[in-house]
Amino acid sequence: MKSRMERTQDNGEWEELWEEYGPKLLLFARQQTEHEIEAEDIVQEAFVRYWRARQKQPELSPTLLFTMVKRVSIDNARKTRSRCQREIACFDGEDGEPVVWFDDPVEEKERQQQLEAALRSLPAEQREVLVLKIWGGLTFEQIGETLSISPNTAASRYRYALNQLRNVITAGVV
Amino acid sequence: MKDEFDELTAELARMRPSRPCQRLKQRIAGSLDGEVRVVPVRFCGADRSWRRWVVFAAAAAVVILGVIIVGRQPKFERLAGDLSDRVHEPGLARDSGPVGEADLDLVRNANYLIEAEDEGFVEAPTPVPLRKVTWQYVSATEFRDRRDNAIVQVFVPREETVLIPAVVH
Repeated sequence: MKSRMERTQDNGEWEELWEEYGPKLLLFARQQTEHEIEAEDIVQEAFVRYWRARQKQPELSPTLLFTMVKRVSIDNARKTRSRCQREIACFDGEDGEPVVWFDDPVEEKERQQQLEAALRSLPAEQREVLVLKIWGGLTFEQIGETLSISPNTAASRYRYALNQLRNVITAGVV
Repeated sequence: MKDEFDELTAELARMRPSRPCQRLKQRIAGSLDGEVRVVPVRFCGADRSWRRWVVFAAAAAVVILGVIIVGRQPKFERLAGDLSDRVHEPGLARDSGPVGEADLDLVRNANYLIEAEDEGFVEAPTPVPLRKVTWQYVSATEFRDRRDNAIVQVFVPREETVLIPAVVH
């Protein structure tokens, strides 16, 4: 059994990891489901699974967290979905508005909202690559491993995503 | 080498993903502390319903066994009497008894998901269709007597039925 000091150290470590990866993981989980509560459930389960695995294998890379999120979301999709009544309030955001994916900036708020709306309009398979590359900081090889696709496919989806994003913004569709 | 998307990617990279709420962090802390055990939810059809009853029968047997064991021990009789006095006459002070409320420490509190059953769609005056889901749990609470380290375990089966907005694609 772990001593109190060891547990405190563990807590400090996981909180540090959470501070760095929590927002990125949640953003990635939001690409896997439309429901905020389900995205949070996915992140929770993935993070706990990863942390427990890391206790046995300290060399595990944090980028594996994204793989965990993907696996948990696939597992969840296979099962009949389980969400409790609290989701009624959070179905789309508490006031009926979609949950915002990015922190509100002080400057360029309108532009950021436009970019976020354009991002939401992308196909899910392009969006998740874009999220992993830009906000997750993963290489195409790591993205390929996370999503079980080849690095080339990841790279081409990334290019398609950027191209489409630019077209959507230029056309002023969003 | 300059890429045609450099400007766009730089702009995207400046956007900061929103921070998860504090509640999610607390849930993770709870899971890592082992206070709440995460049991994968397994849905099943009616053909598996007998398993639920087997599990509930086992849980009920454990509760009955616990009651018998506690009933045979004088110390717990006094404890039970003491607590029932409190329930019936809350205004009265405890007269005597070697075991008091302060002697028991809560050691563990966990919820075990036994079964989850999707009962299908239900009609309701809501903008989205609702699905009825029933979960069966056993809540397990463990106390330790500081004086002699005796362990008291309480198992309570409970059932929760919720209505969940259904996703229609």
